Amino acid sequence: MALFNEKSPLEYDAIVIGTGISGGWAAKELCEKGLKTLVLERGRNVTHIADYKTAAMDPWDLENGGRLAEEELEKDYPKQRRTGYTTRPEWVHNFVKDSEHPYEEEEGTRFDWIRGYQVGGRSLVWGRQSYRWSEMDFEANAKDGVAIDWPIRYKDVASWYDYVESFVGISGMNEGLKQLPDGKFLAPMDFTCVETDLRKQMKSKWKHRMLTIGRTAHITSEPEKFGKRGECQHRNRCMRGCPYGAYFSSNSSTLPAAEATGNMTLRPDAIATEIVYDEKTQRATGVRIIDSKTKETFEFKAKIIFCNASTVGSTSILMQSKSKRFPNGLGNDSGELGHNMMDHHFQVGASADVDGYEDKYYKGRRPNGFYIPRFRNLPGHKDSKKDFIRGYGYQGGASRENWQRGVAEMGYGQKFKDDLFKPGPWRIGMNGFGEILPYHDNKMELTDQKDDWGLPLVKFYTTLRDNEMKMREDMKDAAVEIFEAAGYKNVKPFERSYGIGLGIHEMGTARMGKDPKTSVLNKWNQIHTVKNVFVTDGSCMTSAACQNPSLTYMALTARAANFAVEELKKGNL
Amino acid sequence: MKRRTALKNLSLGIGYTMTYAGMAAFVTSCKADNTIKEVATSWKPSFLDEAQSSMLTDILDAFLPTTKSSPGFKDLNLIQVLDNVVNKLYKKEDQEIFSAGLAEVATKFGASKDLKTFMETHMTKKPKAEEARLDKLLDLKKEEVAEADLKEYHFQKAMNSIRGIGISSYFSNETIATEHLNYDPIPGKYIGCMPVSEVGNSWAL
Repeated sequence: MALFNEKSPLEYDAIVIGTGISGGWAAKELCEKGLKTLVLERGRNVTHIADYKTAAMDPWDLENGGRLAEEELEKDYPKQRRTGYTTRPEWVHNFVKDSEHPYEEEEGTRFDWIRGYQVGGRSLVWGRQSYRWSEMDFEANAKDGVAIDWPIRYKDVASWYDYVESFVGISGMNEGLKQLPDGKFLAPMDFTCVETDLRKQMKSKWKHRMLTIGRTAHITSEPEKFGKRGECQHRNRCMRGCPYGAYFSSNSSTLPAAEATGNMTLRPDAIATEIVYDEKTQRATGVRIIDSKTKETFEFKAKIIFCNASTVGSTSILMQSKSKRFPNGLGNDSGELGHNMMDHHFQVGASADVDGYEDKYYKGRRPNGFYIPRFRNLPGHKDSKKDFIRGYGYQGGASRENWQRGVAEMGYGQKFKDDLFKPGPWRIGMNGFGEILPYHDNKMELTDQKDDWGLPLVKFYTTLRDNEMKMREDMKDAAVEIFEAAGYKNVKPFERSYGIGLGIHEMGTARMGKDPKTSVLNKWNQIHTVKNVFVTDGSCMTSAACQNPSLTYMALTARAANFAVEELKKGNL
Repeated sequence: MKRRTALKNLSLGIGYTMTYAGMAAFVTSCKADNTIKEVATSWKPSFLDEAQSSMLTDILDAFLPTTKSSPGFKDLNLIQVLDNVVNKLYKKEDQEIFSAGLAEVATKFGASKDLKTFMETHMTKKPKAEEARLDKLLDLKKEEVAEADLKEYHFQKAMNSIRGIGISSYFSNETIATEHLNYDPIPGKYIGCMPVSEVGNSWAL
């Protein structure tokens, strides 16, 4: 990568703040359209492949059995550990230490802010599930009278979904569903035998409920279309970084494309502190940064700025960008900046034992599961209506138990031990992912406390409300209903502790809208009143739907970048 | 079932459960110096004392004995892993509970006629009502446990740690994983449904 050095210029055509899912796309699109682009990343540099140091390690290669000491977890990762999986030594270096990057939570509330500060951001460690939004998602706020209407509809992004899917490489099946539009998919990953059984049973038993394979950003066919990236080897060690480049990350995909143009300058260790606003031109002139290591400050100038620092990061930067014109943060005439925080609530579903199929097994570690698309409150289907609005989907899997069943089964001795070498019984489980509505009072603020770089700490005020709580009950009941109808045994609902943010789909704090009085961004992700600043990460979202959001961020970013360059050419920016 | 499932998490030092239940296999492991057998004779435990180390080795070897098809717990010197996990990964309060439990294990072990009697009494499933009582007891925090139940609380906590670490260290051991389970670090193609006869034992990873 062309890294920033002392000879690099201080002035560019464009600046992109952040290298995660959306920042990588902004970098690629702007560079490919010929703009000299400075790409800022607050974390360390991560070189694709070379820096995936744990990628080939087996369990016995990891120190202390691949676990961190409890005292270290309590000291450094009290919040990151809430996921239960981020703090394992195989990939913990791709997540921040809370001790270095603290934040506040309003008493009695919780917000799980799971972060990865490095080149590639959380695109290195994302869940890779990739779903389009549908027309009903863009219409939902207007129809329900919730918050404000989206300024765009499905037709505005459909071709951009096509565009990003073709580059990302998404494995999946087209199912012709209104609530989950088809896309341009590579070969789907296999179902296990039990999942095929459930798919067939659901087709015959339910009107609106169906099961498909997860749509996931892995190359599973046609690798010749993806340059240096290779096919998925089904190792399921994705979060360590993939040496085959088989799953989509900024590191494997968008940043190399940006680099190939010769137009990108990448600057890691650069914490953006402020977007500088010029009152005379009513435009932003550039970005101030602080070097995370030396604490030196720099000011870079550019004609357009893409803010892709992640939902909370971008919102914080806008809040820190105060001027006489914008005393409450850049573009914050509406007062909505920092409000309407959403996520997907989950950790509720069911599991069951499945009799039979003892003569069947599988080969490989599929980094994917099945997906049951939303079936509640579908427009035009009265029978799907419930006592809450919106809906949820399930993600799950069916597999055979391994030796770990021996921990829960009492027993000892030769037969006990020898049995544990054999594949165990089949188990199935699924977890609902539900929509959270945009509530003005679910918000983040900057406090007077400062971090090591003198920047204000963020404080969160977020809770689930009545609609989500009712939905959670239904997420549990319907999961039990589906497994019982399929004849599975020992069906048990579960509900585990969840705080907003744990889905790592935080979004909504600089929302898009038609009216500058009630929103921060317009239909092109442009700040209503500062036309050369674009925000295309999760903070732009006006509602949350229930699908995993990254694919939508990518489509909106490509669309906004295309618009920005056209406007620049027309002399409008 | 519940108490041991819960303790599976505790013994592995994990406070929260996995997000994508079906997607990410929850594999834990431990490194043992099984490749250098002679180390075993010179190795000194750090957390355990010699007597505890020898007692736990006997218990875990009865739990996971040598069979025709695979080595046992003792053959792989896996007591080193248990000692290391408790020493390095447990926080002080949990170490204290473990130590108190270990004293109870030693008492019960000493009072048993032989190893087999100990195993039969403490490593087999109890009647339903008794299992439910233990589930309830183990759900408590230490300060919530009645004085009269404290010894049993410590004993059950320690036994669950011993079982949990014993099993995970054994099946995540390099020799067991690569020579006795089905080890396939780079599977290539994924096949979702195939005859188990073409695979044999469980996948190691």
